[in-house]
Amino acid sequence: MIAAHHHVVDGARLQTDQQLEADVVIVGTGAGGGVAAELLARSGLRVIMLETGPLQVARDFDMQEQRAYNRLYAEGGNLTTADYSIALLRGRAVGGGTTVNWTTSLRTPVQTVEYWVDRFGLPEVAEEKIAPWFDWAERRFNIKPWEVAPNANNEVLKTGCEKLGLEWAVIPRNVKGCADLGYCGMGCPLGAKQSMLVTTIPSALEYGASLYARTRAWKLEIRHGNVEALIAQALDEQSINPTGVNIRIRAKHYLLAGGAIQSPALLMRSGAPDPYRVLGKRSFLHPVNTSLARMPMAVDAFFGAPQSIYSDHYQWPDGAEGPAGFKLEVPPIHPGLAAGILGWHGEKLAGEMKELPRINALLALQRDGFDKQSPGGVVELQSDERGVLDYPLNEHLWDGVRRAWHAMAEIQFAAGAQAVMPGHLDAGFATSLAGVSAQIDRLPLEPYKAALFSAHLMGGCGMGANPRESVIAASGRHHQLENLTVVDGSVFPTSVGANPQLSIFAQAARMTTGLAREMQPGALADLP
Amino acid sequence: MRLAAAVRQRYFDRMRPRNRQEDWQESRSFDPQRRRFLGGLAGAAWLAGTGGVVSGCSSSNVLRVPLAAVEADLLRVLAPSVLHGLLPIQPNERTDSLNELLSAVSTSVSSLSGDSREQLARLLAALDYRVTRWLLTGLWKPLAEASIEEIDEFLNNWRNSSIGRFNLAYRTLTRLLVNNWFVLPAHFAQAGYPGPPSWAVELNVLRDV
Ligand SMILES: Cc1cc2nc3c(=O)[nH]c(=O)nc-3n(C[C@H](O)[C@H](O)[C@H](O)COP(=O)(O)OP(=O)(O)OC[C@H]3O[C@@H](n4cnc5c(N)ncnc54)[C@H](O)[C@@H]3O)c2cc1C
Ligand code: SF4
Repeated sequence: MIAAHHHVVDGARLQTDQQLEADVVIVGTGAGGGVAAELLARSGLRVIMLETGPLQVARDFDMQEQRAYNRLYAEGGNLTTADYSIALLRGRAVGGGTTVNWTTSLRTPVQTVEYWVDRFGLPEVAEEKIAPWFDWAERRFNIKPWEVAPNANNEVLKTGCEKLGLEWAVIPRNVKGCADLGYCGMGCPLGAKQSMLVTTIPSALEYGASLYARTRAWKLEIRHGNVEALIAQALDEQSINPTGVNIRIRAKHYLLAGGAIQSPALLMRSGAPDPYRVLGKRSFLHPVNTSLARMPMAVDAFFGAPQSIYSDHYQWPDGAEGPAGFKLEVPPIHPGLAAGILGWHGEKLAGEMKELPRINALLALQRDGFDKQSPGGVVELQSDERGVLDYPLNEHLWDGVRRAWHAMAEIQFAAGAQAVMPGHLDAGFATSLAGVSAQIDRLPLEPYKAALFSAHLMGGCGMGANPRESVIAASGRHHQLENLTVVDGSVFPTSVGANPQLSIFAQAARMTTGLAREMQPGALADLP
Repeated sequence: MRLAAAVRQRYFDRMRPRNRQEDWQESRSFDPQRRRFLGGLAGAAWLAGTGGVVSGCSSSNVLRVPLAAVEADLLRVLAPSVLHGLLPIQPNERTDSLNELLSAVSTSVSSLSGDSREQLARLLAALDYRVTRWLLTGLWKPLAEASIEEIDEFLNNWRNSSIGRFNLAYRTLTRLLVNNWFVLPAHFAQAGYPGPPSWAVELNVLRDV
């Protein structure tokens, strides 16, 4: 746990400009940054962590949506892609996404790994090479298949799959002493979730690292293929506007872990070399569409471990390439978010909300970035120099969305649903599979009509052997900048095809260990 | 009324978002215009020569005020339609809950960065200025003078429109109000939600970290 003797600075409180020095400065404290901080600090290196969001700990996690979104999510939970067509959930506090994520901890699918090896020339991440890093991360974050019975919301997915003979599996979770509360998305009030906030960050601080919260890395000073300094801005209480106080940090090595969108944006703002114009391209989201079911019994999807069952039955229809594949999962359902997603108002909304305890929702996570019809989105800088993701929707994706609505409705009816409704403004609850199928076939596949969202931001600083189509090498090192490494979700050359945190833990540990051993020979002897 | 309908239809047509094929082609070179709120709605504000003037806040000071008074007033006027069947009937209770709602909205708006804040300001400004309001809603009179049914009608038109920008305006505006309504504990019961388990709440209050 973060303790009084740790060196933690709140940017909002800083009154004067600062000049700092370190061996390594880490931008961002999420899945990638958290793992890196602990390993580097443990190696005896002087580490400074920078985090845009505030430091919020278990006691602050009051299980209220209102406080959680405003404090812990980018844009108070209102972030979207450039044309507003996909809602983006992104954690923005110490611990990044791991502070608010739903604890699903899956390894990178073999199909994905093989595709990266073949297509992007990455033998370093082949199945047998990466497996020890997964073993390490699973031990470090206590990741185990969830032993408690799934909550009724997850049970719908399981039952439906069983009835239809579709494959399904139990989700491993990164928890210790979890009371099956169901508030992972608002910050775990028990400290049971093994997020960076309660594991690697306190550990890095114990090894002497410093943490600057409400402090945003703004620009890198780059000269002759080398980063010479990092300029960070202290931010106000809301972690939005700079207070005017700046922090200049000189380090031997610069580690980017601000997450997809943010890491590419920082490089762009800094005018980092990008000779082949690949920076920020190939950004992926696992775009999600939803299907709602009215069940005969109470589902109470606000309670219980949010995700404990998944199905990959439709994930690899034609191997890695070809038509879109999707993973099926369920979300936790709390009133605020649910009301916003339903897309109704007035008496219709009032009537449907009354039924919320009987609502089950399924999610389809579309696996983007594999087929050539699925190039993903592009990170660009807005006029205020902040990053925004332009993610055009295309036929390849819409085809997956439509097939997923059919598949989800079938599962929900098989599990006993009384009525099913695809998440689309023109849809309504239909009481038979035939009824909903007819509806799905007719629904216009248009942005804003279809409710789409994502909590998985990936890519934009993709790794690969060829600098013409990648930003970093397999080591995590930037192709053109000597002393800069990227270790977050932006490094993936396609989407992962599974919830990304464990893939990020493993890649960040692999890359950071390489760097630590370079800077401090003999370091981290106990790691693979 | 028929004239209004015809003009609005022309206006809607101009606002029709580019089709997917075009978007697709353009994905390589980013067009900053795509980020401009509701393209057409912003255009409407411009047409009226108002942008921020009407809302009482130009883009340079939007950041400092969570919700300008005129914006809060507009949302207060829209709320009885958006939350019809949820807001208390009794006048005092109704005023209290509207106040509570507006304060939640204000908090949530304060966590928006400049760009998102500006887009919201533009939408509200377009609803405030007469010409743009008429184009968007068919109503000449100020929304404060419109009935719950009239507001409900244009919301439904936005919702059911085949023009993406209107669907987006619908989602943006209703979401702001309904989300902030249902995050308030006083309204959990309307969603059959008991709230967080009391043992966990009590335990958490006792924690020292
Ligand atoms: C609600 C939700 C539920 C999720 N559920 C799951 C799940 O169950 N399983 C799973 O595997 N994944 C889940 N995810 C996704 C997962 O949490 C993310 O993929 C993961 O955290 C990404 O790690 P990262 O290191 O790339 O970046 P992040 O974890 O996003 O961390 C980046 C951090 O860097 C900070 N930052 C950014 N730019 C700067 C800057 N310039 N200066 C300083 N700091 C900066 C950000 O504020 C942020 O805190 C979920 C995400 C959300 C939001
Ligand atoms: S379900 Fe478990 S991990 Fe999630 S918030 Fe509850 S106790 Fe914490």
